[in-house]
Amino acid sequence: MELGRSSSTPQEEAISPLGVLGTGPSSSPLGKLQALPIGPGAHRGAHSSSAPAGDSSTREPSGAMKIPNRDSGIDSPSSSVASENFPCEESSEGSPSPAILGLPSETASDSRVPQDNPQEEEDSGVGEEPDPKVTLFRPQEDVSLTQCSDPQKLLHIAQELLHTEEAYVKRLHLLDQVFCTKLTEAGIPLEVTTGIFSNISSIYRFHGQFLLPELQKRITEEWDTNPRLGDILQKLAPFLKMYGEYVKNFDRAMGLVSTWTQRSPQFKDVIHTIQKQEVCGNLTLQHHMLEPVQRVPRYELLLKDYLKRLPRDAPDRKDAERSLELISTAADHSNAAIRKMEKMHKLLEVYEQLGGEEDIVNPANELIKEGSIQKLSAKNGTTQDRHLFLFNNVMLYCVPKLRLMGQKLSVREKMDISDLQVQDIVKPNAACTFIITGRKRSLELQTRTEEEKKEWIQVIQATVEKHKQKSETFRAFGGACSQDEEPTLSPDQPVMSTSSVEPAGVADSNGGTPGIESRKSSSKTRRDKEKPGCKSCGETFNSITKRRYRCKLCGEVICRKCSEFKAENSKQSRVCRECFLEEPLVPPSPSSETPTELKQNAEKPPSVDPRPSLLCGTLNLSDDGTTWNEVWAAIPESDPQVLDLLAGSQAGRLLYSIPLSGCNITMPDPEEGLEAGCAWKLHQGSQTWWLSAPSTKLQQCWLKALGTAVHGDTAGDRPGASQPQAPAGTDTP
Amino acid sequence: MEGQSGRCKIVVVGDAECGKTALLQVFAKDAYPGSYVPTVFENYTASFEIDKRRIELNMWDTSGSSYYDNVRPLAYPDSDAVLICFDISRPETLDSVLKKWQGETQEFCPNAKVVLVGCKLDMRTDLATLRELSKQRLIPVTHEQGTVLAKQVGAVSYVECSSRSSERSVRDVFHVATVASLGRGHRQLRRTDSRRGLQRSTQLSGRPDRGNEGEMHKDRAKSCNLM
Repeated sequence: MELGRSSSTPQEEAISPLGVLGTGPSSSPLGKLQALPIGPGAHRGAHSSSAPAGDSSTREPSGAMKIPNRDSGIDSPSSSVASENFPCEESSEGSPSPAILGLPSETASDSRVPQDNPQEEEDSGVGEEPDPKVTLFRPQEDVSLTQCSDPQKLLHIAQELLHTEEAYVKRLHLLDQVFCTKLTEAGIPLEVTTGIFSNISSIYRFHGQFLLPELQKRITEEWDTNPRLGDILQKLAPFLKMYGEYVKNFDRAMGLVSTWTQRSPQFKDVIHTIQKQEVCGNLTLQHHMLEPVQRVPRYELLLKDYLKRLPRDAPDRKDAERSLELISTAADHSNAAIRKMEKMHKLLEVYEQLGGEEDIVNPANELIKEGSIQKLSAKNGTTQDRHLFLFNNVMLYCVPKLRLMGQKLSVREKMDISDLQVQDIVKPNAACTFIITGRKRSLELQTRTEEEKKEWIQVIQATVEKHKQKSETFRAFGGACSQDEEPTLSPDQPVMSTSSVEPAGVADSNGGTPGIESRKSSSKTRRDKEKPGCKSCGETFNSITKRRYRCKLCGEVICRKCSEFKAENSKQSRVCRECFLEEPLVPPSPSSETPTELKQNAEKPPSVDPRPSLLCGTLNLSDDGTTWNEVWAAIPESDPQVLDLLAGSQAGRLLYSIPLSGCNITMPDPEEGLEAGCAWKLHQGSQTWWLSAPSTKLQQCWLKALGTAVHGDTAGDRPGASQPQAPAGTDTP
Repeated sequence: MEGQSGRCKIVVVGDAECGKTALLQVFAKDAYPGSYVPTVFENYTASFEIDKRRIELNMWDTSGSSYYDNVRPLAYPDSDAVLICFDISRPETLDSVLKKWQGETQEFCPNAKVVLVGCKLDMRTDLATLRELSKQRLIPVTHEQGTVLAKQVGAVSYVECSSRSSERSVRDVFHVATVASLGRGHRQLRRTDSRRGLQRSTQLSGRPDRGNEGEMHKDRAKSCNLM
């Protein structure tokens, strides 16, 4: 036991100087190896016995490639442990320890893959290393897959994330607060330091002030009560897109470091001085600058591992999956940014070739395809050399220029993608030909091979299709806007429906009672609107000097002059000449007529408002007992001696206002009674009205009310007033 | 190459849903975004030319939500220009420019040029929008209101645009912002190298004038439109 402890002590000391060239890598894995297993002494012995083998296997690749080994060592200190642990795993398959140890190994192996992408040198350097790693990796993966999910394993992954984050923040601090600050203090121009370190300050603050504190709090303080990471990562993952700027600038930054190292002794001295410090781990500035490039992909791998071990129904699964999606987007974002910059450079090259004639350097422009092509002349069928540039919004058809310097191509035709069409054609005398049709011109082109022709056609069609889709994004929203306007139209529709209901009502009225009155009513309505002039004298109406009036008897539209004739029963009733002449002559006994007329005149003025009624309802009205018309009948409270008859309904036009005093009520003959149903006659002077009620009860009510009005008036009058009734009765026969 | 090209970082801020992402996507991707998805953090790159000088734009889209107030400042460092956006059809977003965005940009990037941008210009004459605002006894933001506020917050210019109906107005926004930031670059160049500074100041002396003329011309044109 003492021997074991004494052996671990120097190893722990050795861990601190990670940068130690020879013994560092070998000693640090030994230290971790000692710390990680929590088994019996036998296991420890097994590990220690296999350690030398691991060391030897590690040393061999390191002997061949020192730099990559150091990189991997710094990036993931556990990678060496992984390589050593694998033999241990083989020797003790049943032990749970290998599974735990396998996790960092898996992560470490995966984390190396991103290194291959950014730089070719790294690819060539690390090219041989991943192979044995991959070989080792697969069995571990199988083993880990067979293992069931375990909260302890999730915690281990979380701790791995936290530890790597802490180490990473130290690297960022080194880059931003040591290298960048020292260079600035040394008087290096700001544009140079910005060009080298880009937005490392923002990245450092993002990790140092936001991500790391939240991870620390969650994993060290809250894990027992809230074992999840997805919510933190989901909130902050979008900001990983900041790396896009740094990654895009990486090549330029490397160039600047190299240039200024040669050019500025001061720059070189500052860099070297800092690199000698222990915190640098004996690595160069370039290596430290590479670390942010590899960080985002590493989050992706860690999170995938986390999700793999997360139970299906875990509350953190949804957030974690979303976070993985966001992190993948951020990782793709950097690559997409690099590709876009490359395309932009390509665009600039084309711009120079064209001598700046065309304004193609446009934020949304993108060169899709270019190449030499031959044009078939329509005149003589000969071929001419041409050059095509296909952008996402325009196609340029160019003619080569025979010049050594400067402009090499001249734009002959510019075609908008929106108007472009391409079609394949088969010519007997020429192969590999197709036609491009624009708004102004059509070109017959020929390629060297059939494959090249198909490629052009496909690419052009795809570009046209994509352009349409983009245009649709604007139209789609325009369509949505028009939908917003539809609600304003919909209020009109109810209005239309309302107006349509009105004619229907009129039609119903006509259909229901096709009597003379209904015809007059409908014709009156039309004439009111259409008649420009007076029926009697024919003069045209206008709203100032010649207004419309209506004959109370026949309903014709007449002017004031022509309506001066008054019906005998009322001064206020205007009648036309014809109706006036049709009226019977004044009875021969003037003494009897005069008192009746005076009484009628006195009674007329008060009967204005028919709404408050003693009795009201719908009745049928007829002039001769054969043709009936529906009317609204009412005896107003204000004047119980009067019967108002309105056309059609309560809101209809006032047809008659009959003073009941002086009237006589009789029942029709049996034959007539049968036809009319519950009918009765109302006689007033020379006029007679046939009235009919819907039922016998209603008839009796009306007869009673009308009788009361007639008799009440009689009782109230003087004895002399009763005399007029006698002549009326005499007139009836 | 360095002499011919320049770099410019533009950060776009403003209330939520006032048209920031549409502005950037129409400019950089030539496509109008579909359904509304709140932005957390986005980065666009674009390249275009001003007076035969190629400018590489680095544009940052931010979230208008106060939920990200703590972390949004990460986008501000080394900005050459800041576009403070508001929605013309929502007058309250104009108030936010003074209450929130002006202070935030002043605090985190005091050296950047500020351009006030009125988004959704087409909504100013949209009947549905006018009807909705009249219910609250409001009217869309007028050009004069924008101009007055631009002076108040110390912006170099006030520009209006409609991402949906006028791609040209969108390009004008970034043209104005880039010209403004070039002025800043102009000063830097002077400090670093006197000879180059002298030469470039001679060349650049014309460009700011043209920019100013363009701005004045635009202002006149818009005032004519109002009449």
